[in-house]
Amino acid sequence: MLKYLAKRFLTLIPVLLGVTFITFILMDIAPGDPAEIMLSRRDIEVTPENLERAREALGLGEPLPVRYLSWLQGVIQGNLGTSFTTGEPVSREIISRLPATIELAAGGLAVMFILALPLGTAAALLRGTFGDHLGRLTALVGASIPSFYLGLLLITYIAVPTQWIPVMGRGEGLIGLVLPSITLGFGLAATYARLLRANLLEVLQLDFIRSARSRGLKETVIIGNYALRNALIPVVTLLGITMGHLLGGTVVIERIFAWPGVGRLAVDAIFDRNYPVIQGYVLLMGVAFVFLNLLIDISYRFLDPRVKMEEGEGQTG
Amino acid sequence: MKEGRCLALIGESGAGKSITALSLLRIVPPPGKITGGEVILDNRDLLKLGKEEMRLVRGEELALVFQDSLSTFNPVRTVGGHICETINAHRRLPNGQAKEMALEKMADLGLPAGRVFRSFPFQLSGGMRQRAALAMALCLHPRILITDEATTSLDVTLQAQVLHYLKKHLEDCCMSILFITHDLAAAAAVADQVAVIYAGRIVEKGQLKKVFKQPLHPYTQALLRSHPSFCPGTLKPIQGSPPDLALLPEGCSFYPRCPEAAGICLSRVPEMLEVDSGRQVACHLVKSAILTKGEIAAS
Repeated sequence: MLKYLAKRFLTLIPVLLGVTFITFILMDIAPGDPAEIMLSRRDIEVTPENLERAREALGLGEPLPVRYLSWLQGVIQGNLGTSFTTGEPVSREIISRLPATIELAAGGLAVMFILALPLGTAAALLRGTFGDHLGRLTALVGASIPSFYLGLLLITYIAVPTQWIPVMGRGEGLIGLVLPSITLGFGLAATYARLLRANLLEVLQLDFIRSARSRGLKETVIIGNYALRNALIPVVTLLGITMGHLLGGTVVIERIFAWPGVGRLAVDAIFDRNYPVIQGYVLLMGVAFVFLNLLIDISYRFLDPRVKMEEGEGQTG
Repeated sequence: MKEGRCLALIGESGAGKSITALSLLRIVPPPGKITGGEVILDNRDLLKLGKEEMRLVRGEELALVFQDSLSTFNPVRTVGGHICETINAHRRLPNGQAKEMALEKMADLGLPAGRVFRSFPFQLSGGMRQRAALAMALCLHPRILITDEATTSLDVTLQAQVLHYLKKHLEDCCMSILFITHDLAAAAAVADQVAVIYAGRIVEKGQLKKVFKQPLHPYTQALLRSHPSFCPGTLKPIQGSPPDLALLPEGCSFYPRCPEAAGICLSRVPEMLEVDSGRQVACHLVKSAILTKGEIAAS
């Protein structure tokens, strides 16, 4: 197990080198000059001399490979550079935004599970009935409705008339989390409920379900212990990818609810050509994806004993 | 079926053996449906029981062992978990007692009980898994054990061992067995009664020894002729294949393959006829042969 983890962590290195280097190149190719943007933001006249000085200050004078290597050197020492626009360390900027993003991701996933688990299961069990069709229709609507529209609907018809829930920002305690989580979770739930329904239908046709019935097990035990557990395995795979995306921030929802998350930070950084922040963000995403997928792979082990982590393990007979 | 007896249900693939077993437990997979008839156990019609009552019958009174042991078990649970779960579905037992029962049954069947109990199904060999499935079916001491080709996948020595154990169990526990198989030799080893099924209908029934020695129905005769131990030297396969059950021919369903089919076989379904005590055959030809014999005797 430890050997396996070490191996997986080693794969992290080439992945991160790859994505950060590609981002570096892409940013360089992309039109727009960070020095120019910075000058105009600060109402300084854009003259060739001023531009030159600004470039120097931002460390843009060197050729690209040199810049990448010096950035890399900083990263190894735990220094992600400073933001072009605020002058704050990038790590501090990202860390200050991360809690809001994690909160929203957790809230969205919670809403997703609360909706998708019972709906997906019910749809599979009621296959072909009115309830199933209704559920599938709802899922279709949920999957098709754009999150900005759903978010605006919730704000207009729930937050504004009732005044219970803050319309914008995080508010006091967790109450501000409610509407963004619902907006996020609803769209996700549609996909997951459909996936769960399809998997469950497949598993319910397998022989071991018939065998469980032949032994007189209760239907609840058969669904919970036999069908759901096997049907959840593909769901967990998708969950790894979804969580990675959520940690990257959900730009649209963060915009609508004025949610101070990582996604907005990244989008603003892209508009400002704020290279260090973009680099820091990409690095975070790379780590998050690799790490979450590692977590998912480990969780397979508990869901499905047939999955072996390394040679010689898991086989006793 | 009588207590302590073993009835073999034999017939070729596609004859309706397995679906009979599933129907008895009322677990016919959709779109299949039980459209009529009765399943009587101790004067109760199982087809009329409520869902929960029927659940209690399954496993406790009627236990079923399937042919493919890998699909008997949930791949993500241990064998022990399966057995304890089955026991707990029917009885409330203090902790550990279910496990003891499971271990005991597995040891009876010659399994290394402790290890098998902790293993996942995929970690066991086919033979061990099949015996574990059998132990699971037997642990609640069912009134009737239905084995659907349960010994077919075992090797010869293991098969003999398991059949021997079943026979012993039969006598000790007042259990009955419905032994579904296409293996005539295995049927002969455990069963005392036999029913021959063709295209979903029983065509001949009676004491195993009598039926095997003197088969009356042309299908039984043909079936026996295709087995080496009943017909040494010259094997004769039955020509053709069993009919599609959705498109049964009119009349006797065996007539297209029957070497002796006559006019009446094409138009009317033969009824079950008692030819001897406990011996029943559904064949027009046997019926007319008996009738002529009777007339000769009368005159």
